[in-house]
Amino acid sequence: MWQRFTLYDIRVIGHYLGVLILFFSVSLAIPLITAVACQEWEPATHYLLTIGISLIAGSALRFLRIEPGRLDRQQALAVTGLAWIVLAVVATIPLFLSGHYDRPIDAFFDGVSGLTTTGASVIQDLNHLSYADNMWRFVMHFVGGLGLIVVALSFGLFGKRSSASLYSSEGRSEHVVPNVIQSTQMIAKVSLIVISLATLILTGMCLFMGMEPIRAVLQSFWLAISGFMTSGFAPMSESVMYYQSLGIEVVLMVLMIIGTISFVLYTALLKGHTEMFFRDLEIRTMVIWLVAVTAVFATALAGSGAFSDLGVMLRRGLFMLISGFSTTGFQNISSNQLVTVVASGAFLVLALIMAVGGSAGSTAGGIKLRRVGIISKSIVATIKEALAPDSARVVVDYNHMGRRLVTPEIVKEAMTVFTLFVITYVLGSLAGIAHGYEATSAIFESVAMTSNGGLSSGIVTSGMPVTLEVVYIFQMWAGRLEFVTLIALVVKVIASVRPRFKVKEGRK
Amino acid sequence: MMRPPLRPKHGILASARGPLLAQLALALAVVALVAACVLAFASPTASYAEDGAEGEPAVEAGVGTAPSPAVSGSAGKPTAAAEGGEGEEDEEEEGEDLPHASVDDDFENLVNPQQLPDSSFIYDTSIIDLSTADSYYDGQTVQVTGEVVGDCIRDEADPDYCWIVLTTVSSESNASISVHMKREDASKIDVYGKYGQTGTRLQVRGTFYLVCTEHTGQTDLHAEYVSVAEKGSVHADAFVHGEFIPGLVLVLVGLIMLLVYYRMRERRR
Repeated sequence: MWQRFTLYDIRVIGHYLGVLILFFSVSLAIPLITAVACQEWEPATHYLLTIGISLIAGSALRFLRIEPGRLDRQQALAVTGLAWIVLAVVATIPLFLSGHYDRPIDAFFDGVSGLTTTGASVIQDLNHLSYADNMWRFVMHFVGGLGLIVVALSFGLFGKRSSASLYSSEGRSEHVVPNVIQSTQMIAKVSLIVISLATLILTGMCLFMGMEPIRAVLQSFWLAISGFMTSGFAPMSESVMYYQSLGIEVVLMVLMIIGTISFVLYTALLKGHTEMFFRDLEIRTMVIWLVAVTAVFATALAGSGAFSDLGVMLRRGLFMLISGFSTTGFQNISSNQLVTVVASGAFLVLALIMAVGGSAGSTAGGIKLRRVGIISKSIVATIKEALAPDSARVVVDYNHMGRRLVTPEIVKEAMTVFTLFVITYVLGSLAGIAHGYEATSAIFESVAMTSNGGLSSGIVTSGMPVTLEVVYIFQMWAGRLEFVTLIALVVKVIASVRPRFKVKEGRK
Repeated sequence: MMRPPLRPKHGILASARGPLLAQLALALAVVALVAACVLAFASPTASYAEDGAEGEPAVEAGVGTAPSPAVSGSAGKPTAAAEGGEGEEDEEEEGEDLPHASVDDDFENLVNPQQLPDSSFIYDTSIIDLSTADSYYDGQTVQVTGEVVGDCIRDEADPDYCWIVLTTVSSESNASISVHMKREDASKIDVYGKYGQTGTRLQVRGTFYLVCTEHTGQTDLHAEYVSVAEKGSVHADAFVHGEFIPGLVLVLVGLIMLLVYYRMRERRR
């Protein structure tokens, strides 16, 4: 029933993974240059070593198939699925060599967290991390936030023939422009423009706050990447609280919201089609959803006592709400405050916000507003059908770059992914509970990992149980790929390695 | 013939001839004086009575048990317990011991020069404790020691103040605390910790807030007294040619492999 991978398939997949690893070795040059510029010689040796290893590994994999040919859909699924883990392994090397991780699995956790833009970290002594290593963390965010495949496609690494399969297998169903490669280049261009502008503004603010110029520039650049990519790593262990600046928090909130909007809608806005923006299903769902959760969150937070003050609620509550909704993971409330001061209702509302996430076609994670919107439309259609006469034909439509119909296929896809997300949230929560953590914290952490949200209640920390760490790594990976690609890959691999049973001769 | 009763010819009793009540009163006065002296020297907090600190609460809070906290840079506990909880238990147990023969030998009896005369409840605690604190520490005067990292961030509301981040010196934790202090106190910092630099180790005493209403809900420590426990140091990376060789060799091998691959591909076309 299930088609197995043939040796030819494995060689093609290996070849394209080698292409990605070679591309990744180019991105490793950025922290190497940073290390040399800042005279951080020890990190420089680490990155040189890692570049060498990735060049050798990438080239060796390419030798599996000199002329790989076109990728079919199933090969593209495998390349996309495995790329995140293979590149995370490469990313782990310099992280572990930095000496800021107790165990290799901790460095691997941060590698996966960086690439999947989750933003949770188990790093030790972040405040003493070199500029080069910090730069690498945010390069991972940039590459992972855009999408490994998107970045590779924008550079034309896979050629034109395989681009469509790869693009859609990374969970991107929308073309910013009709041509896939142009779409990816458009996404990269928009990202660079927004990040550059944000860096400029944040640098000015950091200099005003009294930071050293080099630290102001670098940290602003990193915060801009992390905010727009809705990733969540911060240069200092105190996260956004380190900067003690309302202005910086406001800029980051704007960045996070912009990062949550689909890239497709940017092109509409740039072309002046503002009515298309405001009629969009995701924008309307976002507005309704945000209004509802803000009201509930504010009410729940008011019950906390300590956070009931209006100024506190506005600054801390609103920031955390936007950070959770965009699945960024920046915190201006400490993990300790989250579990000791914030009411459990507000705590769980934050988890719910992360669970739903942002827009499809953006850098945000979670179930996605588009699916929530389509499921809502499906409910409306079901009720309409129940109320309408038998002869009536019920048609429900939605707006997304034009009028589209809510078809059974679209609803099936939305429901499938929605259900898979919920199942993963539950399984991850059970894993946390099984390791002895409190139920609310376990649920919060599980949702944060699967939705690539990154907010932490304190479970994700250096020294956490290895088994739980592996579970969370799997959740981050699955959430980033939105399950279908990953499950398809797992089924293919199992089908490929399962021994065939020969039919006995003589049976007729 | 009956011998007359013996009467002292000299000394206090001789001069205290008089009514029996007067002699009794004098004897009682002497006994009371001796008892007062014994009680005074027996109490371990006797030396703090002058400072105005309450005897037993000061013991429980750990004040006065630090031999020289400004020099050692530690939390001041003779038991070297990093956790405040452990130190408090130790002090409760040690408070029950009999005083040493010599006051100078008893390290528990040493005066904490950092302590203000009118300070109330002080918790000599650690940054790790504060990072996991609940309302128990909220609003309390605490004393912590930690390394300064990052920058001196200005206070948006008051330019005379700034924010410093103190991180724990323990290698087992990443705990840190934001400290709000005067700029003149911040000028005592010679090195800010980052890569290649170990920051100045400060001892800070101040009020801890779990949710500070003055600073819109932040967890922070408002410094009242800051002293340098240990100066910072700079230890930049040394450029060692030999350490780059393995990486360069691997890069070279990788590039050769890439070249070979492209050659093979060109030949096939």
